[in-house]
Amino acid sequence: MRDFSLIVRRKLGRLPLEPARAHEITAELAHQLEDRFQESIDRGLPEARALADALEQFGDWEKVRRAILCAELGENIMWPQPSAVPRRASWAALAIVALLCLAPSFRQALRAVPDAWRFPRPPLSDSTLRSVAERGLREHDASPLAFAALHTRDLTEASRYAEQAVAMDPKLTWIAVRFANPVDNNPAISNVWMERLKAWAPDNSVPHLFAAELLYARGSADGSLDDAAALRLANSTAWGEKMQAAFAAPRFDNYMQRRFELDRSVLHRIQGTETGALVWYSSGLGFINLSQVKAYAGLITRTFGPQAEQAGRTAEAAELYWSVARFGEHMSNGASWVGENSIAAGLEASAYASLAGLATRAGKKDEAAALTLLSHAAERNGSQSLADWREASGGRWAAADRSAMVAWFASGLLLLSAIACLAWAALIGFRSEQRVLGGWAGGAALGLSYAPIFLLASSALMYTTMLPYLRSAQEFKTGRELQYALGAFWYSYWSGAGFPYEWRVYGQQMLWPVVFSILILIAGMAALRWVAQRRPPRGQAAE
Amino acid sequence: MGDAASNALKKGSLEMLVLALLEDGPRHGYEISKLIEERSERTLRYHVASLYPTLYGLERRGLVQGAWGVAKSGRKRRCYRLTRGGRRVLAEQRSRWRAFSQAIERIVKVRYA
Repeated sequence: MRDFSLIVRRKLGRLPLEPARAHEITAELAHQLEDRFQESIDRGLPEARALADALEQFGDWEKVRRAILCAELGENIMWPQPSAVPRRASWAALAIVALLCLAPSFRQALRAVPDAWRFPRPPLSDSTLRSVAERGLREHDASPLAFAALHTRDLTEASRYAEQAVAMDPKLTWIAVRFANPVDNNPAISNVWMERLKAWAPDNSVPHLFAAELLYARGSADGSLDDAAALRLANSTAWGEKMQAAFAAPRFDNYMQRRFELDRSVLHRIQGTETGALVWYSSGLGFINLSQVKAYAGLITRTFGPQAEQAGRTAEAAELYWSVARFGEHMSNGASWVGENSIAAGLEASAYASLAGLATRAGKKDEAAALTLLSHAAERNGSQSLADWREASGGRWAAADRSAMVAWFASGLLLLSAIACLAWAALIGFRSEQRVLGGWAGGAALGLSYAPIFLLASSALMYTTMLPYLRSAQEFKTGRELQYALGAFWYSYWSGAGFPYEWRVYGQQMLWPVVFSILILIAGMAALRWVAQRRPPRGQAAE
Repeated sequence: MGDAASNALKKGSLEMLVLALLEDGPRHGYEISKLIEERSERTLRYHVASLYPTLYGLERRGLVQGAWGVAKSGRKRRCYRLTRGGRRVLAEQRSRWRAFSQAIERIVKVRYA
């Protein structure tokens, strides 16, 4: 006995309807086929001919299928959808993205996506830092407290954490650099910490530089002073004395390395080995005012030294020049970035040149020649290191900028694609693999069917672009190394560099409202669809 | 008459034919197709692609109601019966068809008189 249902199912394919309804239609058509077949057999036709005759009444099966779906689902169904992405391809794309999520570096890239689409702000909020500090108190561990002290924006709260951290471990007194710069801080708080830092590290020039900086900032409107203005400042305030103390100190340490190690270790405990937050935190704090250093060194080599020479106090002049040379050397040894190296080399070069002049005038030709050589070497080192850095970093920065630009764009596309994927999934529903949608839902599903492909493409683009910059924090020994390797990329990525300012501001300000609006729209559409599905068919009320 | 015009006429009238055939009582799909063929003396023959979607459309609109039952042949078949709404629609369509065919008839008679 022939299985006419099987013939119909094979010819018609799976109907994207409720299973019971699809079964009913298949059975009904099978009966139609069977009746015609039986009639032909009764007329004496052979079986093969009878079957061909019975099948002939169906004509084109694709037309039958389409007409049935039109009748069942309404006139405006989107079937077939020739330009829609095949459902399997969409699911495959989503599966690949899910597989990518297994890679820790991809998850790191994903976590960085929201950072690109909001105005740059510190990676950890004050409330997170508060819980970090509480953890330090609970575990009697000074490091988390010191970390919170360095990064909490509220100065009073930060100072309290610093007190608690230093009370637990006095070796952490260096965190006073967070408060010691009076220009960026509350002078009342900063003076206390500045004095503590000076007392804790009396041989370090940095606390003296911070102490001098407030006076310098008051004396220079635009941040720089010529020799005459610097002389006036030195004569009228204690700036000169404080700078003299700084130049006399045998060490230059702005505690960048200690801070980097502390940040790395605490961040490792909070969020693993990710570098984004570390890049953010390893910059910004503790930089000294290089303009002030240059102004004071210039005052010595161009004013105080020559004045002493003219007055015949050559030993005093020599000692003044040597103080600049020694400070330059200390600064060079403790420099945390190339700008400090360059300025330090400049100080050394000008001090040695002045000393060479002094030796020449004193008739010490050999000493003068040696000092001139030292001066040239320092100058060459300074300009060479700057040139090397510019050359190396220029190419690296350009590449990092380009990568950041692509990653920024890809991250935005990824966000929108992810939302579109949600909408697509909500529209097609998870129950029926081949659900056919009518009207506006069909149109929307057609467009949204591309979302998984876009999600995969944007994920792959973002990941491949960011991969060179998703390195572990443990790979870097110093903050300087970290900044050189990753700084340019992350700053560009966070700030959306490379795109016009208006785009950036518009994108960063509008993205989240757009995202929330789309989510509300999706929820509304889903609710409407839910209601529509539960409404009885038209005309039934007539019965 | 050209094929296209014939098809358009057939397509436009199928709904009314189905409703009219169900007026006498419930029938299943094959029976409906056979009756159309017989009563039109084989002038009208509809493919499955037309007949069943029409039945489903009518059912969706509440003009007919389908239910599984046992046909005269003793086989289990899905039979359709006319609903009250279907009767009303049939009456309207019949009236329109009558007016339409009479109008056409008048014109055709005048043209070829």
